[in-house]
Amino acid sequence: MKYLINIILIVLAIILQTSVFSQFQINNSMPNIIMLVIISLIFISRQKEALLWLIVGSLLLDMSSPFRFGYYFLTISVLFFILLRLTNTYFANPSLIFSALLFFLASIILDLPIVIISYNSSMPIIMLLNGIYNVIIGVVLYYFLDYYYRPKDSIRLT
Amino acid sequence: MKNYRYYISILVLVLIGFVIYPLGILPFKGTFEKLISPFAKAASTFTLGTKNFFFNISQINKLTKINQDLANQILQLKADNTKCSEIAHQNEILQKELGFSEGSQGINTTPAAIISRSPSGFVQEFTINKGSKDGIQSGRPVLSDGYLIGTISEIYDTTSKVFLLTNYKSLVPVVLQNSRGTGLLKGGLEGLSIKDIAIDSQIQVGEKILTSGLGGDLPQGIVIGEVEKIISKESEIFQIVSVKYPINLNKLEVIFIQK
Repeated sequence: MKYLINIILIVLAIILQTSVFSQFQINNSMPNIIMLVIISLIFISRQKEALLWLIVGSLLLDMSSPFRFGYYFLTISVLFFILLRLTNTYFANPSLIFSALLFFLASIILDLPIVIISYNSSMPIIMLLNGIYNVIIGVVLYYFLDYYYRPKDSIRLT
Repeated sequence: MKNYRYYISILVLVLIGFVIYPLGILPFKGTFEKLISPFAKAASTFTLGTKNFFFNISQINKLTKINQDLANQILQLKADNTKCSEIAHQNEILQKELGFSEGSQGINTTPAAIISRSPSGFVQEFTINKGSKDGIQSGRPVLSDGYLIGTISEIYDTTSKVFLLTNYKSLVPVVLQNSRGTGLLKGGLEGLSIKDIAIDSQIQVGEKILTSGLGGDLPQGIVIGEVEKIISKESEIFQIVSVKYPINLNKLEVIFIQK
Protein backbone atom coordinates (compact mmCIF):
# COMPACT_ATOMS: atom_id res chain seq x y z
CA MET A 1 0.00 0.00 0.00
CA LYS A 2 2.85 2.35 0.96
CA TYR A 3 4.55 1.61 -2.38
CA LEU A 4 1.32 2.22 -4.29
CA ILE A 5 0.88 5.65 -2.66
CA ASN A 6 4.48 6.50 -3.51
CA ILE A 7 4.00 5.43 -7.14
CA ILE A 8 0.86 7.62 -7.41
CA LEU A 9 2.87 10.51 -5.94
CA ILE A 10 5.64 9.89 -8.48
CA VAL A 11 3.17 10.02 -11.39
CA LEU A 12 1.72 13.25 -9.94
CA ALA A 13 5.24 14.67 -9.68
CA ILE A 14 5.90 13.85 -13.35
CA ILE A 15 2.64 15.55 -14.34
CA LEU A 16 3.72 18.58 -12.30
CA GLN A 17 7.14 18.53 -13.96
CA THR A 18 5.84 18.35 -17.53
CA SER A 19 2.83 20.63 -17.27
CA VAL A 20 3.07 23.02 -14.31
CA PHE A 21 6.76 23.72 -13.71
CA SER A 22 7.35 24.21 -17.43
CA GLN A 23 5.02 27.23 -17.22
CA PHE A 24 7.03 28.79 -14.44
CA GLN A 25 10.34 28.75 -16.27
CA ILE A 26 12.65 31.65 -15.50
CA ASN A 27 15.02 32.17 -18.44
CA ASN A 28 14.47 28.54 -19.47
CA SER A 29 15.40 27.25 -16.04
CA MET A 30 13.13 25.01 -14.02
CA PRO A 31 13.47 22.69 -11.01
CA ASN A 32 13.61 18.91 -11.27
CA ILE A 33 11.07 17.72 -8.70
CA ILE A 34 12.02 14.02 -8.91
CA MET A 35 15.67 14.73 -8.14
CA LEU A 36 14.71 17.07 -5.28
CA VAL A 37 12.41 14.50 -3.63
CA ILE A 38 15.07 11.78 -3.90
CA ILE A 39 17.73 14.00 -2.31
CA SER A 40 15.35 15.15 0.45
CA LEU A 41 14.44 11.53 1.25
CA ILE A 42 18.14 10.63 1.50
CA PHE A 43 18.73 13.59 3.84
CA ILE A 44 16.03 12.34 6.23
CA SER A 45 17.35 8.73 6.02
CA ARG A 46 14.42 7.33 4.02
CA GLN A 47 16.59 5.27 1.69
CA LYS A 48 13.88 2.76 0.71
CA GLU A 49 11.50 5.46 -0.48
CA ALA A 50 14.38 7.30 -2.16
CA LEU A 51 15.32 4.14 -4.07
CA LEU A 52 11.70 3.67 -5.20
CA TRP A 53 11.57 7.29 -6.40
CA LEU A 54 14.89 6.76 -8.17
CA ILE A 55 13.76 3.62 -9.99
CA VAL A 56 10.20 4.62 -10.92
CA GLY A 57 10.58 8.41 -11.07
CA SER A 58 13.77 8.47 -13.16
CA LEU A 59 12.40 5.86 -15.57
CA LEU A 60 9.17 7.84 -16.10
CA LEU A 61 11.19 11.04 -16.49
CA ASP A 62 13.29 9.30 -19.15
CA MET A 63 10.15 8.19 -20.97
CA SER A 64 8.87 11.75 -21.20
CA SER A 65 12.16 13.56 -21.76
CA PRO A 66 13.69 14.68 -25.07
CA PHE A 67 17.10 13.31 -24.05
CA ARG A 68 18.57 9.90 -24.73
CA PHE A 69 16.74 7.15 -22.84
CA GLY A 70 18.47 6.44 -19.53
CA TYR A 71 19.95 9.93 -19.10
CA TYR A 72 17.98 10.78 -15.96
CA PHE A 73 18.17 7.27 -14.53
CA LEU A 74 21.94 7.17 -14.79
CA THR A 75 22.69 10.75 -13.64
CA ILE A 76 20.25 10.60 -10.70
CA SER A 77 21.68 7.15 -9.78
CA VAL A 78 25.15 8.71 -9.53
CA LEU A 79 23.75 11.47 -7.30
CA PHE A 80 21.84 8.92 -5.21
CA PHE A 81 24.89 6.82 -4.38
CA ILE A 82 27.17 9.83 -3.74
CA LEU A 83 24.65 11.37 -1.34
CA LEU A 84 23.86 8.02 0.29
CA ARG A 85 27.56 7.53 1.00
CA LEU A 86 27.88 11.08 2.36
CA THR A 87 24.82 10.80 4.62
CA ASN A 88 25.84 7.37 5.95
CA THR A 89 29.43 8.41 6.62
CA TYR A 90 29.49 12.10 7.45
CA PHE A 91 26.07 13.59 8.14
CA ALA A 92 22.34 13.09 8.31
CA ASN A 93 19.74 15.86 8.41
CA PRO A 94 22.06 18.58 7.04
CA SER A 95 21.63 22.20 8.10
CA LEU A 96 19.87 24.79 5.92
CA ILE A 97 23.08 26.14 4.37
CA PHE A 98 24.62 22.72 3.84
CA SER A 99 21.44 21.26 2.31
CA ALA A 100 21.17 24.29 -0.02
CA LEU A 101 24.77 23.74 -1.11
CA LEU A 102 24.11 20.04 -1.77
CA PHE A 103 20.93 20.79 -3.77
CA PHE A 104 22.92 23.28 -5.85
CA LEU A 105 25.77 20.83 -6.50
CA ALA A 106 23.31 18.03 -7.33
CA SER A 107 21.57 20.29 -9.85
CA ILE A 108 24.92 21.12 -11.48
CA ILE A 109 25.86 17.43 -11.69
CA LEU A 110 22.46 16.63 -13.25
CA ASP A 111 22.84 19.32 -15.95
CA LEU A 112 26.57 19.03 -16.59
CA PRO A 113 26.46 16.15 -19.14
CA ILE A 114 23.90 18.06 -21.29
CA VAL A 115 25.99 21.23 -21.17
CA ILE A 116 29.16 19.33 -22.10
CA ILE A 117 27.58 17.26 -24.90
CA SER A 118 25.63 20.06 -26.59
CA TYR A 119 27.50 23.21 -25.57
CA ASN A 120 25.82 26.54 -26.22
CA SER A 121 27.01 29.90 -24.86
CA SER A 122 23.94 30.45 -22.68
CA MET A 123 23.78 26.93 -21.26
CA PRO A 124 26.12 27.56 -18.30
CA ILE A 125 23.87 30.46 -17.24
CA ILE A 126 20.82 28.22 -17.38
CA MET A 127 22.71 25.57 -15.45
CA LEU A 128 23.38 28.11 -12.67
CA LEU A 129 19.79 29.38 -12.72
CA ASN A 130 18.56 25.77 -12.55
CA GLY A 131 20.80 25.35 -9.51
CA ILE A 132 19.30 28.38 -7.75
CA TYR A 133 15.74 27.33 -8.63
CA ASN A 134 16.42 23.81 -7.35
CA VAL A 135 17.87 25.18 -4.11
CA ILE A 136 14.76 27.26 -3.40
CA ILE A 137 12.27 24.46 -4.12
CA GLY A 138 14.56 21.77 -2.68
CA VAL A 139 15.05 23.41 0.73
CA VAL A 140 11.28 23.93 1.14
CA LEU A 141 10.63 20.32 0.12
CA TYR A 142 13.33 18.98 2.44
CA TYR A 143 11.97 20.82 5.48
CA PHE A 144 8.42 19.78 4.60
CA LEU A 145 9.37 16.08 4.27
CA ASP A 146 11.50 16.28 7.42
CA TYR A 147 8.50 17.64 9.34
CA TYR A 148 6.10 15.12 7.73
CA TYR A 149 8.23 12.04 8.49
CA ARG A 150 9.46 13.16 11.92
CA PRO A 151 8.26 10.67 14.58
CA LYS A 152 5.44 12.25 16.55
CA ASP A 153 5.33 11.87 20.33
CA SER A 154 2.77 9.29 21.28
CA ILE A 155 2.66 10.24 24.96
CA ARG A 156 1.60 13.74 25.84
CA LEU A 157 2.46 15.14 29.25
CA THR A 158 -0.20 17.36 30.70
CA MET B 1 19.53 -5.67 -0.17
CA LYS B 2 16.51 -7.14 -2.00
CA ASN B 3 15.63 -3.63 -3.20
CA TYR B 4 19.11 -3.20 -4.63
CA ARG B 5 18.72 -6.48 -6.56
CA TYR B 6 15.68 -4.91 -8.28
CA TYR B 7 17.70 -1.77 -8.87
CA ILE B 8 20.58 -3.66 -10.51
CA SER B 9 18.18 -5.60 -12.81
CA ILE B 10 16.56 -2.34 -13.90
CA LEU B 11 19.96 -0.66 -14.27
CA VAL B 12 21.01 -3.40 -16.71
CA LEU B 13 17.80 -2.90 -18.74
CA VAL B 14 18.28 0.89 -18.73
CA LEU B 15 21.88 0.49 -19.93
CA ILE B 16 20.66 -1.73 -22.80
CA GLY B 17 18.00 0.91 -23.60
CA PHE B 18 20.65 3.66 -23.45
CA VAL B 19 22.86 1.82 -25.94
CA ILE B 20 20.12 0.86 -28.43
CA TYR B 21 18.25 4.21 -28.18
CA PRO B 22 19.76 5.65 -31.42
CA LEU B 23 18.30 2.69 -33.36
CA GLY B 24 14.82 4.10 -32.59
CA ILE B 25 13.36 0.74 -31.58
CA LEU B 26 12.35 1.55 -28.02
CA PRO B 27 8.57 1.09 -28.09
CA PHE B 28 7.74 2.84 -24.82
CA LYS B 29 9.18 6.32 -25.49
CA GLY B 30 6.04 8.44 -25.71
CA THR B 31 3.70 5.76 -24.32
CA PHE B 32 3.79 7.11 -20.79
CA GLU B 33 3.13 10.65 -22.05
CA LYS B 34 0.09 9.31 -23.90
CA LEU B 35 -1.20 7.73 -20.68
CA ILE B 36 -0.82 10.86 -18.56
CA SER B 37 -1.84 13.29 -21.30
CA PRO B 38 -5.43 13.95 -20.05
CA PHE B 39 -4.15 14.74 -16.54
CA ALA B 40 -1.20 16.76 -17.81
CA LYS B 41 -3.52 18.76 -20.09
CA ALA B 42 -5.94 19.45 -17.22
CA ALA B 43 -3.10 20.49 -14.89
CA SER B 44 -1.59 22.69 -17.59
CA THR B 45 -4.91 24.41 -18.37
CA PHE B 46 -5.64 24.97 -14.68
CA THR B 47 -2.17 26.43 -14.02
CA LEU B 48 -2.31 28.66 -17.06
CA GLY B 49 -5.79 29.89 -16.12
CA THR B 50 -4.76 30.66 -12.54
CA LYS B 51 -1.52 32.32 -13.66
CA ASN B 52 -3.36 34.45 -16.22
CA PHE B 53 -6.04 35.43 -13.68
CA PHE B 54 -3.50 36.88 -11.23
CA PHE B 55 -1.40 38.33 -14.03
CA ASN B 56 -4.42 40.13 -15.51
CA ILE B 57 -5.38 41.60 -12.13
CA SER B 58 -1.89 43.04 -11.77
CA GLN B 59 -2.05 44.47 -15.27
CA ILE B 60 -5.45 46.23 -15.23
CA ASN B 61 -4.07 49.75 -15.80
CA LYS B 62 -1.79 48.57 -18.56
CA LEU B 63 -4.59 46.53 -20.14
CA THR B 64 -6.88 49.56 -20.30
CA LYS B 65 -4.23 51.45 -22.25
CA ILE B 66 -3.53 48.44 -24.48
CA ASN B 67 -7.28 48.10 -25.10
CA GLN B 68 -7.47 51.72 -26.24
CA ASP B 69 -4.43 51.25 -28.50
CA LEU B 70 -5.94 48.08 -29.96
CA ALA B 71 -9.23 49.85 -30.66
CA ASN B 72 -7.28 52.49 -32.62
CA GLN B 73 -5.35 49.76 -34.42
CA ILE B 74 -8.60 48.01 -35.39
CA LEU B 75 -9.82 51.19 -37.03
CA GLN B 76 -6.54 51.50 -38.91
CA LEU B 77 -6.59 47.81 -39.89
CA LYS B 78 -10.17 48.07 -41.13
CA ALA B 79 -9.06 50.82 -43.45
CA ASP B 80 -6.04 48.76 -44.56
CA ASN B 81 -8.25 45.71 -45.03
CA THR B 82 -10.50 47.60 -47.40
CA LYS B 83 -7.45 48.62 -49.44
CA CYS B 84 -6.17 45.01 -49.41
CA SER B 85 -9.51 43.64 -50.60
CA GLU B 86 -9.39 46.05 -53.49
CA ILE B 87 -5.80 45.04 -54.31
CA ALA B 88 -6.72 41.33 -54.05
CA HIS B 89 -9.56 41.91 -56.47
CA GLN B 90 -7.26 43.68 -58.91
CA ASN B 91 -4.67 40.91 -58.47
CA GLU B 92 -7.28 38.27 -59.29
CA ILE B 93 -8.23 40.07 -62.46
CA LEU B 94 -4.59 40.52 -63.49
CA GLN B 95 -3.77 36.85 -62.81
CA LYS B 96 -6.66 35.78 -65.02
CA GLU B 97 -5.44 38.16 -67.70
CA LEU B 98 -1.95 36.63 -67.46
CA GLY B 99 -3.32 33.07 -67.61
CA PHE B 100 -2.41 31.88 -64.11
CA SER B 101 -4.16 28.68 -63.02
CA GLU B 102 -6.64 29.24 -60.24
CA GLY B 103 -5.15 27.11 -57.43
CA SER B 104 -6.23 27.18 -53.86
CA GLN B 105 -4.19 29.73 -51.92
CA GLY B 106 -5.67 28.80 -48.53
CA ILE B 107 -3.51 27.14 -45.94
CA ASN B 108 -4.75 23.75 -44.81
CA THR B 109 -4.10 23.38 -41.09
CA THR B 110 -5.02 20.91 -38.35
CA PRO B 111 -5.55 22.15 -34.78
CA ALA B 112 -3.87 20.31 -31.92
CA ALA B 113 -3.68 20.77 -28.16
CA ILE B 114 -0.43 20.91 -26.22
CA ILE B 115 -0.50 18.08 -23.69
CA SER B 116 2.91 18.38 -22.11
CA ARG B 117 6.21 20.21 -22.34
CA SER B 118 9.82 19.19 -22.07
CA PRO B 119 10.78 18.38 -18.46
CA SER B 120 14.07 20.21 -19.02
CA GLY B 121 14.49 23.88 -19.90
CA PHE B 122 17.50 23.11 -22.11
CA VAL B 123 15.37 21.63 -24.89
CA GLN B 124 12.33 23.65 -25.93
CA GLU B 125 9.77 21.08 -27.03
CA PHE B 126 6.00 20.43 -26.82
CA THR B 127 4.04 17.21 -27.03
CA ILE B 128 0.73 17.57 -28.89
CA ASN B 129 -2.33 15.33 -29.04
CA LYS B 130 -2.12 14.54 -32.78
CA GLY B 131 0.01 11.80 -34.30
CA SER B 132 0.45 9.58 -37.32
CA LYS B 133 -3.18 8.38 -37.02
CA ASP B 134 -4.28 11.99 -37.67
CA GLY B 135 -2.09 12.27 -40.74
CA ILE B 136 0.65 14.32 -39.10
CA GLN B 137 3.98 14.14 -40.92
CA SER B 138 7.48 14.84 -39.74
CA GLY B 139 8.95 18.26 -40.60
CA ARG B 140 5.59 20.01 -41.09
CA PRO B 141 5.42 23.62 -39.85
CA VAL B 142 3.52 24.39 -36.67
CA LEU B 143 1.78 27.76 -36.34
CA SER B 144 0.12 29.89 -33.71
CA ASP B 145 -1.82 33.03 -34.67
CA GLY B 146 -0.34 32.61 -38.15
CA TYR B 147 3.23 32.78 -36.85
CA LEU B 148 5.66 29.88 -37.20
CA ILE B 149 6.51 28.38 -33.80
CA GLY B 150 8.35 25.21 -34.82
CA THR B 151 8.23 21.96 -36.75
CA ILE B 152 7.07 18.41 -36.08
CA SER B 153 10.11 16.41 -34.99
CA GLU B 154 8.93 13.02 -33.71
CA ILE B 155 5.66 11.25 -34.41
CA TYR B 156 3.90 8.52 -32.44
CA ASP B 157 0.45 7.00 -33.02
CA THR B 158 -1.59 9.63 -31.24
CA THR B 159 1.00 12.19 -30.15
CA SER B 160 3.84 14.16 -31.74
CA LYS B 161 6.71 16.31 -30.59
CA VAL B 162 7.07 19.91 -31.77
CA PHE B 163 10.64 21.20 -32.05
CA LEU B 164 10.37 24.93 -31.29
CA LEU B 165 12.10 27.79 -33.11
CA THR B 166 13.55 28.90 -29.77
CA ASN B 167 15.53 25.67 -29.51
CA TYR B 168 19.27 26.26 -29.56
CA LYS B 169 19.64 23.71 -32.40
CA SER B 170 16.96 25.33 -34.61
CA LEU B 171 18.05 26.89 -37.93
CA VAL B 172 15.45 28.16 -40.42
CA PRO B 173 16.17 29.90 -43.77
CA VAL B 174 14.32 33.23 -43.82
CA VAL B 175 13.84 36.31 -45.96
CA LEU B 176 13.23 39.89 -44.85
CA GLN B 177 10.05 41.11 -46.51
CA ASN B 178 11.07 44.60 -47.70
CA SER B 179 14.85 44.47 -48.09
CA ARG B 180 14.68 40.87 -49.47
CA GLY B 181 17.81 40.00 -47.50
CA THR B 182 18.09 36.30 -46.80
CA GLY B 183 19.63 34.68 -43.75
CA LEU B 184 19.36 31.91 -41.21
CA LEU B 185 17.05 32.28 -38.24
CA LYS B 186 18.84 30.84 -35.25
CA GLY B 187 17.10 29.72 -32.10
CA GLY B 188 18.72 30.08 -28.76
CA LEU B 189 18.11 30.52 -25.12
CA GLU B 190 18.92 34.23 -25.44
CA GLY B 191 16.22 34.76 -28.11
CA LEU B 192 15.85 34.55 -31.87
CA SER B 193 18.36 36.13 -34.24
CA ILE B 194 19.07 36.07 -37.97
CA LYS B 195 22.64 35.67 -39.12
CA ASP B 196 24.40 35.59 -42.52
CA ILE B 197 22.42 38.48 -44.07
CA ALA B 198 24.33 40.05 -46.97
CA ILE B 199 26.06 43.31 -46.06
CA ASP B 200 24.37 45.22 -48.91
CA SER B 201 20.82 44.46 -47.69
CA GLN B 202 19.09 47.65 -46.55
CA ILE B 203 17.46 46.23 -43.43
CA GLN B 204 14.67 48.25 -41.85
CA VAL B 205 13.77 47.88 -38.19
CA GLY B 206 10.21 46.54 -37.96
CA GLU B 207 10.13 44.79 -41.33
CA LYS B 208 8.49 41.37 -41.38
CA ILE B 209 10.49 38.14 -41.42
CA LEU B 210 9.17 35.23 -43.48
CA THR B 211 10.35 31.71 -44.22
CA SER B 212 12.25 31.72 -47.52
CA GLY B 213 11.51 28.12 -48.50
CA LEU B 214 15.19 27.52 -49.28
CA GLY B 215 16.17 23.91 -48.70
CA GLY B 216 12.60 22.76 -49.22
CA ASP B 217 12.01 21.81 -45.58
CA LEU B 218 9.46 24.56 -44.95
CA PRO B 219 7.08 26.31 -47.35
CA GLN B 220 7.90 29.91 -48.13
CA GLY B 221 6.02 32.91 -46.82
CA ILE B 222 5.19 31.87 -43.25
CA VAL B 223 5.47 34.86 -40.91
CA ILE B 224 7.96 34.54 -38.06
CA GLY B 225 8.23 38.01 -36.54
CA GLU B 226 9.83 41.34 -37.26
CA VAL B 227 13.28 42.88 -37.13
CA GLU B 228 13.94 44.31 -33.68
CA LYS B 229 17.42 45.74 -34.19
CA ILE B 230 20.66 45.20 -36.09
CA ILE B 231 23.15 43.71 -33.66
CA SER B 232 26.17 43.16 -35.95
CA LYS B 233 29.04 45.66 -36.05
CA GLU B 234 29.96 47.65 -39.17
CA SER B 235 33.24 45.74 -39.49
CA GLU B 236 31.49 42.36 -39.84
CA ILE B 237 31.09 40.81 -43.30
CA PHE B 238 27.51 39.68 -42.66
CA GLN B 239 24.70 41.41 -40.84
CA ILE B 240 22.99 39.93 -37.79
CA VAL B 241 19.62 41.10 -36.51
CA SER B 242 17.64 40.28 -33.40
CA VAL B 243 14.03 39.23 -33.90
CA LYS B 244 10.93 40.54 -32.16
CA TYR B 245 8.84 37.40 -31.71
CA PRO B 246 5.22 38.10 -30.71
CA ILE B 247 4.26 34.63 -29.50
CA ASN B 248 4.61 33.74 -25.81
CA LEU B 249 5.34 30.02 -26.05
CA ASN B 250 4.73 29.43 -22.34
CA LYS B 251 1.11 30.54 -22.68
CA LEU B 252 0.15 28.45 -25.69
CA GLU B 253 -2.55 25.81 -25.37
CA VAL B 254 -3.60 25.16 -28.97
CA ILE B 255 -1.45 25.21 -32.09
CA PHE B 256 -2.03 24.53 -35.81
CA ILE B 257 -0.10 22.10 -37.97
CA GLN B 258 0.16 23.04 -41.63
CA LYS B 259 -0.45 20.05 -43.88
